[in-house]
Amino acid sequence: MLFIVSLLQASVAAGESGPVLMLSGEADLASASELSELLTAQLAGGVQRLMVDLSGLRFADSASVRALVLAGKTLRERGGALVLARPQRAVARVLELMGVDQLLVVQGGAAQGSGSEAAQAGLGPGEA
Amino acid sequence: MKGNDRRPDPAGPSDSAVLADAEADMGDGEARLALDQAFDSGTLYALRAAVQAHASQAGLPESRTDDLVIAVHELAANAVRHGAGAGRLRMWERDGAVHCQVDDSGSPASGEDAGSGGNVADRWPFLPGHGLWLVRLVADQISVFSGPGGTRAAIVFFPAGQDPSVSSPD
Repeated sequence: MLFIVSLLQASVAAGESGPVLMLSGEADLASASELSELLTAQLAGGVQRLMVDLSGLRFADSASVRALVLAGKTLRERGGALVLARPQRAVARVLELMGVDQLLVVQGGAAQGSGSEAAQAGLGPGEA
Repeated sequence: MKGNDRRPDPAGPSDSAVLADAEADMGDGEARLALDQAFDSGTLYALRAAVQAHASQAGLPESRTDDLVIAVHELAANAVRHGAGAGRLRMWERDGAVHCQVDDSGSPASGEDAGSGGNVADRWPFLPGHGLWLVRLVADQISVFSGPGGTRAAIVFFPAGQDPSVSSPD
């Protein structure tokens, strides 16, 4: 599946322990509601664990992070988790400033070009 | 335009120019306007790109440039969300410090307390985002004022992340 949402691109793949939503481009106010809808769609059907691969995302604003946090809250309430993988530097900074690392699992922060480790965090079998 | 009231704000006389309609509040020192760009919700990405380029050009380190882009974006997003759906950024440099000023000309939409004036932070709660809160975390200085003509938010990034007006011993 491929979605085009303004400057935000998203695709979904099946991971070992749940869907992996890959975001790339830039996520801001203009795409926040679409991002919410994407996340909500992925949460359907009793999904317990959703991985969001941020490695292609250059920018995320507070409205976008809020959408991620709300999805994480939904998953937590059903005993699951939202995992944010491989944020780029600017995105990692917003996550840090908003204290999101307290609310969600963030893996493989701010790595630039460390391919193998990144692939493991994002798309490999994972840490289970 | 009805929003032309330039009475000094009793709480901040030095900021009396802040609500002037058209001019950037560039102060008395030598300043060079680097950027003057209108934006709306569909052009925030272009605004970020321009701010990033100019911040690098001004010599801000990479991490501070990230922070500046975050801050300007959040102010602009607030202008889009709470103003008339659009706004204007002006950015200039003075004494190595980067100044950004975001104006929106809109009165708050749909029955908010448009007439209350005062510090707009009071009616910019941290919802639905945490925009203004983020800005406060990363900017060295921030001021936000609103009047009948709209809202003006101004931030300053000092080169070393410090405010020289506070660091001088008194």
